[in-house]
Amino acid sequence: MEYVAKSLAEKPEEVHVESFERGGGTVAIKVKLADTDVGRFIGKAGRNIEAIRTLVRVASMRDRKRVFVDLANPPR
Amino acid sequence: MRSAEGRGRTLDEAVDAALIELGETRRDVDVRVIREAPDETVVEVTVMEASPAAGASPVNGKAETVRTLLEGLLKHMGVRASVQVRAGSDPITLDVTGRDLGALIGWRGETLRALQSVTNVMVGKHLDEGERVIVDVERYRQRREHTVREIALRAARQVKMTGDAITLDAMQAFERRAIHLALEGDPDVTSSSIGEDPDRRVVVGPRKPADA
Repeated sequence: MEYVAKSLAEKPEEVHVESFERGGGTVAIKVKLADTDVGRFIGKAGRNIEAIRTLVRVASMRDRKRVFVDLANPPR
Repeated sequence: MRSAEGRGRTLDEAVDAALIELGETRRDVDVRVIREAPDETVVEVTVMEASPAAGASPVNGKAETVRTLLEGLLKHMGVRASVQVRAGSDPITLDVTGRDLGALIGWRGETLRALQSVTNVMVGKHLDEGERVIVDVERYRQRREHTVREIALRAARQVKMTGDAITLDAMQAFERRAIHLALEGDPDVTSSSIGEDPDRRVVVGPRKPADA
């Protein structure tokens, strides 16, 4: 996750990724980016973040975990 | 360069026939369809020589950057696969090969679409404005283009028989494009797309005498 966020960001040094175990085999991932990179991360009509979630889901299937990806940046 | 011709009822069978003759696996070959008919498909399968320059010299620095990024992404996803730049491809096309990559393609290529989107946002800053890269897994796109072409021809036959337009299932852009190209030369039918992604569909209809 961090790899994706850092490589797409214009300001990779402002990328912070945190994950929380939430019990029941679920994990929440919070991504924080520079304000100027948020739009790029979400994409037109949320297309990019949906694509990222799809890939994270595929990657987490082998660990039998459910992963939720969200943004930590406050909505504007 | 070694190549062989293969014949079979379907594209897969034709390719397999040629591969058996060459003693090669799917990963290192390029497939060109020579003839497609409902009962037989003929293909030419060419073995791609591992070019000595590959990887060593930065023939195309941009393609190599993109390749490395996708390779890193797959590694982080826990997928063991190799990524190659398809020789001479424009736009840059990345071929992902490995074992058990079905999950990377997903239902009707949905995961592959996501993989291509994420790759493009990741590499965007290394590309020119508006430039995009294509990601293919186990030549899925090529196989799928062949399948939708058959769907298109079947729809065209039905339209000619009944005179009614047919709306096909929702498809991705590359699939719709394959359909438009397949029917472009048919004087009796037209194809157009309606709706919005991801629910955009191709409509195959009779060509009115006025357009002819």
